[in-house]
Amino acid sequence: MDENMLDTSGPTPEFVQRLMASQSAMYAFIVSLLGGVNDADDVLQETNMKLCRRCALYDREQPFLRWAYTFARFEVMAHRKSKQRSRLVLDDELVVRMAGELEEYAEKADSRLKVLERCIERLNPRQRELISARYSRGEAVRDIAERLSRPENAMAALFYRLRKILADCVHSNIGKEGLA
Amino acid sequence: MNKDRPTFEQLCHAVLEGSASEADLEQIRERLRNSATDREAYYQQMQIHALLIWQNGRAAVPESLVLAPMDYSEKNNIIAFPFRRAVLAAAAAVTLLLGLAFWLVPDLNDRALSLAVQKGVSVDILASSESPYQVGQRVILERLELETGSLRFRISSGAVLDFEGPVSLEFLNPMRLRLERGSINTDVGNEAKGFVIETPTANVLDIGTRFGTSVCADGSTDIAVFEGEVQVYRAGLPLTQESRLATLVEGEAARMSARDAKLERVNMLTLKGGRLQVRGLNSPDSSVVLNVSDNIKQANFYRCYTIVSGGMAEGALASLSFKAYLQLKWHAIPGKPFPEELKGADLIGTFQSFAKRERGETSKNDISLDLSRPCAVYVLFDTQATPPEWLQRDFRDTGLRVRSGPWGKFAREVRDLDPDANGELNLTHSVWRRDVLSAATVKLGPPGNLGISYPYAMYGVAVKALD
Repeated sequence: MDENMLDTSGPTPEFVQRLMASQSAMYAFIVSLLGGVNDADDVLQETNMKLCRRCALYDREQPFLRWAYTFARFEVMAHRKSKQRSRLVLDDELVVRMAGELEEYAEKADSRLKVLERCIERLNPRQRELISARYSRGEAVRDIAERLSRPENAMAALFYRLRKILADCVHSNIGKEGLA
Repeated sequence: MNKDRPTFEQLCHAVLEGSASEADLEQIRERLRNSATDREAYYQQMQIHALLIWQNGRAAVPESLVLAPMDYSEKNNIIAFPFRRAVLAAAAAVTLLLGLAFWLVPDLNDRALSLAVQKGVSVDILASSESPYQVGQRVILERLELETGSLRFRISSGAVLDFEGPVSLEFLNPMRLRLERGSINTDVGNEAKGFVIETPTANVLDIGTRFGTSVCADGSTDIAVFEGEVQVYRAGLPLTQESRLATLVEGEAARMSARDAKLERVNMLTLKGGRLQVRGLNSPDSSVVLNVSDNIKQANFYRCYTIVSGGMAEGALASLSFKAYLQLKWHAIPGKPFPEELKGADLIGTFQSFAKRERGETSKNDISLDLSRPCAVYVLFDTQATPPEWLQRDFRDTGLRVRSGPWGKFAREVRDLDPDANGELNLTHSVWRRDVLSAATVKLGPPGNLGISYPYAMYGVAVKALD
């Protein structure tokens, strides 16, 4: 990227709208490459800034998210360099490889959040309560397991299965209307 | 598989929860390098994990991306309803553009940015119905008037508010708001301990909990605690020992009356759709049960009965959580459907400590139901115990059975019980019925005969109109 190619006219409303619509997908992309949510918000902010400064580079005929993922990938790599003394989940080679694979999934990724909401509604009440405890109330899996008198490993496996169910549901229904 | 090596599920769990050791990380890297299937599974787990965090507002969205529903100004900061979405989207885009200008114009300094966001409280929209906001938006609010519809959002302090119209709120700061009318449900989690709700008659200080607050038409304030505890203070005074009226814990509810400024027990609390939430002022109440009361006369006693109109179903809440008790729910007997006869009945949640165990004896307490029309009253009785005389005399055993649970393993009520196939402790209840043919007050007696040891569960109650 050419650092000097800053846009001087600023982002258009259309650009802003696309950027807004892509936030959750970009966040998920960054979390995947970082191997967790720590620092993901900082990387997203840096990515947003770079995207806005270079909005003139964006070809509106091209998918926005795929273009944005490229910036996010660079920001993840830059962040890794600044954190080299910290423990990193993935190594550089894996990040590059996985970013390339994730970019293939960019199509319609910005509508996943909406589909996910519907998929959560399809869970049974107990499953929804678990999702709510972990993600809405922010309880750790260990605490939920303790509260329900279940082994942590069993609860972790349950959450793995729940995320798998939701991922499969999102995958099968993305792009479809009227998911009941 | 080597038993000492963690499974891929366990490795993912450790990574997601931030508890992975260096050995765990090396193992997951190795698996991701060598297996496309594992990479696919990793993407699924990470992406859904991230989206769920985002959806629930737990991601710290950059402040520069704050969206306001309208151009924010001193004179025009009341959110009016309803808005047109197109107008909202355009306004949001303009506001975002203004925010982006801070990045694009290097001379604008941090002070200018902070001034731009100081005027209201930043909230993330988590759920929205008939409101101008969309899930995932971040908006700045100073005041909110909602006549209809519902909204759930997370304040920047971490407190999550959930409510339906009508409601009038003023956001004083991220840790304090004023409720002028309506009902709100607050979940402060661990992040916003010390959150305060002011009402015309009381200040409610949260100490890490979930609770509901309602300001009724006469100005009185109802407070119901679902988890943790809150402290209730007199309105208009600093939060000091002198102004503190009571500490309420989970399962308790109290009313600060507008007339005589006294805190009194709320006997019956109407929940919203079976969830641990107080209903909105205009939400439907029970059409059959006018009131639930008992003869407990005890100072500083605030335990309450709950009622959910039409709420009896598989998984319905049986009792408010209280200290050692988990959130007990009603379930079908394994392998059988939930009894059709009970479905859709108004469900009354009783509380377990009703079966008082001082000196190992039952209490003399009874429950009164004020019923407005002909109905069937059901008592769901713990089959471990012998049905008391009043139950055998006034009710008949329908032969139906349901379960309550899961119970905590240290609960006295299940000390003789073995875990079921799922490792859970559930009690079986027999379903007793009495038909009441006109509006009446029906009295239900103590759960056991007087003078006997009573290590059993309190009975549940359901009421269904006879049409």
